[in-house]
Amino acid sequence: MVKQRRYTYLIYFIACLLAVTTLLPFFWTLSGSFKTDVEIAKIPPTLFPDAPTLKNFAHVFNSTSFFTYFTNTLIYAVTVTVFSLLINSMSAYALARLNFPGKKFMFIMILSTMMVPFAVVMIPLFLITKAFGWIDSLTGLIVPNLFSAFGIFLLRQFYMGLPRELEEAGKMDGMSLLGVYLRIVLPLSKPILSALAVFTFLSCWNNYLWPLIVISSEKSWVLTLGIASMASEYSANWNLIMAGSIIGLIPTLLIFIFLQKQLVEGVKLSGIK
Amino acid sequence: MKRLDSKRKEAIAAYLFMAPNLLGLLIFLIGPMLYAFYVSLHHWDIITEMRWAGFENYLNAFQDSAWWNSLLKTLIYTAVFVPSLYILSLSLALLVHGMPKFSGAFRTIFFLPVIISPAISGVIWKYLMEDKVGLLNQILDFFGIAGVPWITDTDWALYSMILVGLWLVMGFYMIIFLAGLQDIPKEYYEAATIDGADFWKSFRHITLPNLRHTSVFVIVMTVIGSFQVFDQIKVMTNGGPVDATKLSVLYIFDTSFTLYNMGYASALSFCLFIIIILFTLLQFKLLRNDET
Amino acid sequence: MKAWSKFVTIALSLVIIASMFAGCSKENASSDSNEKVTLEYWRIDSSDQLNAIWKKTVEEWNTNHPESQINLTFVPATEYGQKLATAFASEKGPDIFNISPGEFMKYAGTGVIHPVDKWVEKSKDDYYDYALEGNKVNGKVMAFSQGLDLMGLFYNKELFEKNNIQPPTTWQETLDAAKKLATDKRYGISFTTKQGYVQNFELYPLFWMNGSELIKDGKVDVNNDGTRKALQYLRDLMSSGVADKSSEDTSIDDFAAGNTAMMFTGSWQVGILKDKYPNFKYGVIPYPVPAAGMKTSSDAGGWKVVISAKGKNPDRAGDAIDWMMNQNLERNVEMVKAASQFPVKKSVLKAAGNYYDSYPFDVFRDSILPNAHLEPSFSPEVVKAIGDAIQKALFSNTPIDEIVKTLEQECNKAVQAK
Repeated sequence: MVKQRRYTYLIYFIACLLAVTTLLPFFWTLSGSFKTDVEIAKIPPTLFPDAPTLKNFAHVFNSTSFFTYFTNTLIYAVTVTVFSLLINSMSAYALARLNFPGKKFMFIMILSTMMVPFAVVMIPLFLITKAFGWIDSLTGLIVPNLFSAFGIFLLRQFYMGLPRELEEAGKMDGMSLLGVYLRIVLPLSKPILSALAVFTFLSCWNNYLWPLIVISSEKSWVLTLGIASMASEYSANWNLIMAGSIIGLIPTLLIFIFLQKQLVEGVKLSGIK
Repeated sequence: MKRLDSKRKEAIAAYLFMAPNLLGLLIFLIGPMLYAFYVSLHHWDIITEMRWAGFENYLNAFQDSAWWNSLLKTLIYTAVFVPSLYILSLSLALLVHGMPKFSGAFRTIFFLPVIISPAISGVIWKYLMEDKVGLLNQILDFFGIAGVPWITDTDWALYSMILVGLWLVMGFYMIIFLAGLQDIPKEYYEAATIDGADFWKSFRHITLPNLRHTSVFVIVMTVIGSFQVFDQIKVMTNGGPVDATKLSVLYIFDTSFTLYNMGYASALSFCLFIIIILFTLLQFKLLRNDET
Repeated sequence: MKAWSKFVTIALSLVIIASMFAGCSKENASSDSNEKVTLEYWRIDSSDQLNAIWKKTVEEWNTNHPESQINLTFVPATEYGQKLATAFASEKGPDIFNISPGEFMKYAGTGVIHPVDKWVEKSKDDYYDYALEGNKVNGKVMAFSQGLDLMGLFYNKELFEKNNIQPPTTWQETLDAAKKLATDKRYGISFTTKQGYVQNFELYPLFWMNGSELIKDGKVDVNNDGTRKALQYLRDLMSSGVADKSSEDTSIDDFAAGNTAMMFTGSWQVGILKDKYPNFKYGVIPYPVPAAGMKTSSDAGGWKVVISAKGKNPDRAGDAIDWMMNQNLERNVEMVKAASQFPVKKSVLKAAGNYYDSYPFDVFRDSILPNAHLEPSFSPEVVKAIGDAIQKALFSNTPIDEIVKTLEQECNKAVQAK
């Protein structure tokens, strides 16, 4: 018992140390977002703002068409997350559990899409988006981002690690493949799907380059473009950018906290012999 | 006859399951990659017409010492980053997993760096690592240690980039490991404790084997990722000082959008592609990925 | 079965690629003078003030010219070059656009930009010579400039007065002043250390003052004492520890906060300093000379506005920009003031009244401008070669002679590749 206590203290101690290192840069962004123009440049940088101001946040909300950008980004991120989660889990299941000709080739081909830098596929992708007529529209933002090998790979590995017994039991009960997938596998995937949901939402939310390339009209701008427009070519305005970033990361943070519970649901093996 | 039927059924089902993804991947990912390969066979400055080059770009790549230098830097980065990330994020996951209380708070804290965009994080770390007045050197100074030229020294810069890279994604891979840890039935550990196993024994014989598929993901993904690391390096050092952090994708980016040499950049990308795919296949073989 | 799936994949991909080419049909430029046309005008997102002036100006044009409507779009400055290039690669480039000095040469030299002689001819005499020359490529004027940025040495007046130091006039004096004023929390001097055309822009005068033109009229003139001296001075500044090792031109906040005593930066900062730090006392002097008795120099350049040769109607585009930038004196004065630049036309300078009489504009006008050298239009390869040399001088131990030799090789390569 005492040994376990000591272990627990050790765990907390190390965790706290690491937490502080992790928090430091983040905390600095937070405090920076409350600083005035003059204070943000002060050396050495102060950890707590001397004269905290809400001006930066006000500036972000007012001078940019903030609500429009926010809504656009929300539509973009939610659509991509929901849709890609669906199709990724289906593909991943096929790759993990089903046998079919060309399986190995398919998997490698899918993975290979992650191996070329965006800089060189950006222009061809733009050409394709243009061919569909989606330039300067939210559709052009959403559709190309629906498909990603990352999610497929993540889920495939997860499915491969699931104990087969549950699926076997389902099959023996007479469930169809789709039934097994929907009623047994999908519920078990909640932890990993939550993780993927957060990640997908996040990468959409923080995406800058593709929105910059595809979208021109300000009414279709996403948040990252709005935040970038606060840094002009001549002046950095870090306090404004930090304020914008803080506002920007709140939705993802909320989603993460909300999905926390899903992340830690374990597998229940009860009922299996 | 019956066996063939069910095999065919399975194949059809599989393709149906994968259809939407396959279609999308083909159009929006494979398509552009093939086009990029087509471009690599030309000279192209992006804004005017392409000129046929055959394999000239690839031949030039072989003789490009700056390219080889960037590949070397990328290899060093990967070699240090991947094991460090694996150990770090797994440790975080084990730490959090073993906490009776407040695990949610710690999970959120460790995940925070992932949420901030790499560009912003890059700027913040640039300030933290500043020579005279950056916070890191101030802390060192407090303990009487001389300041470190984190990003202004040609030797330190690469390792500082690795540090920032770790900070950026350790929370994410921690979550991946956590999800994997959740699925190891508690019964296994209970049985092991009854048999008298301590932490390390059950770690080696229960945790690690059951995390195999997750581990494959983490390792393969981080290798692919570190071969293509870009965002935070661009913001912090832009390849400097004196190309100390000019990793492959930075080199490719410079070649394409600064020097307007898209044909060559595409060729370099495919050289990188071959390397990454070979590494990946090798890892799959070593890690025995296909066994369930 | 395996081969079958591979075949399908490849076939589908080829179909997709083929359709991409089909989608690349060229748009025919309209030359019908009465057809309504909408011209896309891209500007980088500048200060609210300048953006507002342009919005108003475009509105005015649109109200009076229903057949040539301009659609003004602001683009964030970060990665603007990528967006521009991608648009042109897919035949969706804007008709009129802002372009940075770093990108100008690439677009002008490849025929993507339409010459603007026809509009500039009219007010040829109103332009300062240097202004027109800077926008000429192969003898043709290729861009409109709203104003010019001028480089100078900004210094913290309070710090200098407190420490009883005179503003430096030579390179040695600058180094000495920097050494005296540098502390463990403050740098003596700063300039852009990040490689790129901005860094080059700031540091060219160091080469020019020593007589090294680097490349003139297509001839490479790099292997000379001037280049060596300039690179050596940069190395001295950095190795003595008084120069900020990671600073950018946007670090004016650092300067105003007292983190650096001196800064090589430009006239555009005057407006920013007035807005953000009205109580900050600073001085501006021309670039110190290598040795007493030599002539100072400065760099004059800045973003330009150009017309796409591949646009829907370059003629109408030119008319529009010409009107907006040249025919509207009051508006032009506003623009130049908002960007804190120097006018390129005599009439605009006159109309600005005594705006440029105030400090430090008068310093720029009287001491810096007369010795200003135009920002050279170097190709991206040359810009990179020079940048590499500067980086090596600043941050490595490579002998200066070796750096100069490599620079010469690279410049020769770049010039021959034309």
